[in-house]
Amino acid sequence: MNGLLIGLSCFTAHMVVTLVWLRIRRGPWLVARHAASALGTHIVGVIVLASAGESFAYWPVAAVSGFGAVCWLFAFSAVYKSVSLRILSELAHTPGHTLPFTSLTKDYVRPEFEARVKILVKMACAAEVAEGYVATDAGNATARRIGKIQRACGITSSGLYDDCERSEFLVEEHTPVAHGSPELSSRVP
Amino acid sequence: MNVDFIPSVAIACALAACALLPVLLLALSHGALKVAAPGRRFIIAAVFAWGAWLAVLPVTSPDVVDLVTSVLLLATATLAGFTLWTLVAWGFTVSMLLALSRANEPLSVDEWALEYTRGKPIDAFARDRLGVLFKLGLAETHGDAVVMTPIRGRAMASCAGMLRNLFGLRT
Repeated sequence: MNGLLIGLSCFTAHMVVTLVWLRIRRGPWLVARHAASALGTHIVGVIVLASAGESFAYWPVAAVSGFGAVCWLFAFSAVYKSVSLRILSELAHTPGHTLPFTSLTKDYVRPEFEARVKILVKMACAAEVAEGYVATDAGNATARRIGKIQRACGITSSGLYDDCERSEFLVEEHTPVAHGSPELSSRVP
Repeated sequence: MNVDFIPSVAIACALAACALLPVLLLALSHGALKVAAPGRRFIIAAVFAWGAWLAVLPVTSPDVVDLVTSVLLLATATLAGFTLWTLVAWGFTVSMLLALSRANEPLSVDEWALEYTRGKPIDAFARDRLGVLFKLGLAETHGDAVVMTPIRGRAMASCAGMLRNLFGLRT
């Protein structure tokens, strides 16, 4: 029981550190801050309590602080990057909570695509040239590595949910707004 | 230091089940055992990993702490694995980079979007992401309009807004 409580203390410290660190503008990528904080608070927590003479089993500490950190990162990732939640947020801020599909595409989805273009340029994976955008050497190298991982995992899709699941589920097509696969209900948007 | 790093039998079995998850995922990704849909493949791999742990659970006769620890370890592995799996299979920025690299020539934003969706208009991407909201009952269509559902949609939007504020993310 001691280990579970120590794990909870490590996770609480991780929450406090991330909530402060995420508000600082300069520094590493936000997800990297999560990882560094989770690892740092876990290691420091275990060392400090062990040095103070506490006796405990390590694995309950690892389980609680690890589970907390993954859930915390999951919640953060959902609101930080999810296009679906971004659309929902736009709907929530619109009078009547309604938007025409064409407006959603033009005003929110396309800008989201353009925002990711900027991220890839900032990461030096893509570069802007006179004719548009090209993948840089670093971008191509990263793409090759990701391609290898995808092949190892047997993934050959475009990145669209429907494309991935099309082989197993029928998807409504040619409707104003197509519905995704039944399996999507198990996913966080 | 009085820290016991050696796991009990019950916890060791949970750790083995955690290690089994990526092995099962790879096994279900190729050959005769291949499950075509990546989402379903992950679910099946996770079910087998949890099932394997449950099958040996009575033999390990864990106490409450070991049981809680084991469940949390497996839940952590499942959630972390799911996050990585979705990133590889459906990651937006990752897929965009792959599309640009695959094109091997300069692309305008529109051409890039077409390459990303493999020839479909950007509407297809919008529909794809909206499909998640529809399936979760967070939004619905009224003719050609998309409407947030009053209970579930509003609750999720509020929850997302609170989380954004909590994490200090600008809306």
